Amino acid sequence: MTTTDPAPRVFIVEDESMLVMLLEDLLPTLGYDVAGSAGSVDQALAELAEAEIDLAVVDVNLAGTPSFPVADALRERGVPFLFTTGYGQQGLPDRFADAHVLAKPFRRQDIEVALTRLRSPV
Amino acid sequence: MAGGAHAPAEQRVRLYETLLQTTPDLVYMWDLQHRFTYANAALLAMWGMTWDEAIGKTCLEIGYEPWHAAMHDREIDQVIATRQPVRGDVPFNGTNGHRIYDYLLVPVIGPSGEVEAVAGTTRDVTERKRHEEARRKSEERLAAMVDATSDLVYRTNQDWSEVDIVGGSLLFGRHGSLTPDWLDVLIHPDDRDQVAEAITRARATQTPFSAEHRLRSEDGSWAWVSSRAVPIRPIGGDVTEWFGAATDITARRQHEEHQRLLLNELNHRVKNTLAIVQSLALQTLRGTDDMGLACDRFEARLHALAQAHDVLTRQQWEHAPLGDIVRTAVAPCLLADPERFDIDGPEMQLDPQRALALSMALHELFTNAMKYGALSARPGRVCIHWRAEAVQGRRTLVLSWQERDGPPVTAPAHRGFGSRLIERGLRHDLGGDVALDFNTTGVTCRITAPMPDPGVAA
Repeated sequence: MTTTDPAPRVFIVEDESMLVMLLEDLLPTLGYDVAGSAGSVDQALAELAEAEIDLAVVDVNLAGTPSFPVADALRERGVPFLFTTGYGQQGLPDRFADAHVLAKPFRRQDIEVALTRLRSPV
Repeated sequence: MAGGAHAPAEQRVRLYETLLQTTPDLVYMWDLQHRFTYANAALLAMWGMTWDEAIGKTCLEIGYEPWHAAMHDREIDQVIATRQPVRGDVPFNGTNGHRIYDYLLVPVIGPSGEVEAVAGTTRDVTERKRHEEARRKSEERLAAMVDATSDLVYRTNQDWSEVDIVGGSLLFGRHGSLTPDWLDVLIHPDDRDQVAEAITRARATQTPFSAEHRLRSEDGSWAWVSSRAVPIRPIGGDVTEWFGAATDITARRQHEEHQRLLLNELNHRVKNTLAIVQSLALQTLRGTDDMGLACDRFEARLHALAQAHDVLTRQQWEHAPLGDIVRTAVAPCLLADPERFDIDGPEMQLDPQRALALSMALHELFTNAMKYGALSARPGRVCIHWRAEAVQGRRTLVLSWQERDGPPVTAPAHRGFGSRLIERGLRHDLGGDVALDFNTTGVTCRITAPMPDPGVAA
């Protein structure tokens, strides 16, 4: 990224406020803007319809409910996203077999690398 | 035939006599008065009598027990009357000990067509009877075992194309032959290849078949079974059939699956909690100059998190009573100075996420009150009141934290992690509204949070 590019806008889907706050602190230090956050599938779908976003970080489990409808909506809009989860890759349905997954808890450099990969599809 | 006119007849008598005297079977003849007119050597030896002692006597006179003699009397009369053979078996104590005999009595028809005598042959069948009896007992025991077992007992032909349920469990509702497409109909689609492979391997190596798979039971549901079959092979020959038993292990499988889910869930929660701790640590330590103070705060927050977990664990992580959450958050001061608190509200249940968020927020309010607010100097007090209200038709929790009679409050120059955790955290996790005010007369915090439907209020 060059200094003339605007910072990419990241949407956070995470039910745990402490982790939202963590990402809100962390992402600006990595050169990203936080475009908003949602803690439930309904809230996320509602806000996604309006938000202008470039990337998304999506927790797989939102207070016991899978966030897959949100991931489907992101795909439909062509917004690259990565999953965060405590379960590991095996909890994902087949259609997300090639999705980027970040295991909780993640390090600063883990999410930095993951977001960079997300922006430069191989 | 060689020899003179009489030679063949005499020769035949010699031949018959030789056969009769040397056969191990007993050969004899009665006249119409039931008297022995002939007894071969084997019979005389069995009686322990000579020809002269025996011939001309009836059974009773020979020494047979009365019931036995009477039975033969009836049979002789029957043969004479019906001209038909009679066959039977009977135990007898002779010189050979207690034996069982199979006998056949036939009429001897004279030249005039009348029955002139009754002939008999008797064979010692003790060994055969013993074998038959042993085999019958063994079969009975086997059948009882098959009936008694809760396993499904089956047999198959050599290539497993025919399978019969021969006993045991009534998983299929009844015993009997399976249809030839049993593999496709009764075995779970995901297990078919594995079962087919196990059968092929067992047949090729002529070693026991063994597999764990799902089976469609009578009610259509899938049952897990552990199935094992052994080949039946005649000595020196190829396998002719297989006998097997399938044990229902559905309960065990369900238990294992439940364990796996629990472990998965535990892993998820631990990882999530570690991420929360990571967030607490980073945000507590960030931008601080006083390392000692930051460490104290971090420990206190970790402690608050742990105590909220305790409250939830007491209720199986399903919900936590709001009163417990509130009292636990302020416990250090509440226990020492209960009169400095006014805690009041109806008993309500919070789901785990709301309970944790509220615990952490109350901890921050409490810490601030202890350090700078109403609890830092007497006679400062804290009122914590809550109630359930209907807001726009939705059950809503309204909780207020109000500090009174404490030292004058000055609003902080910039809001730290504590304020952020209260405002940002509660707003996000409770999906409601938070008003935190640093009034001069005392800090107030008003929390409004819609409760999920159906309402979790107790």
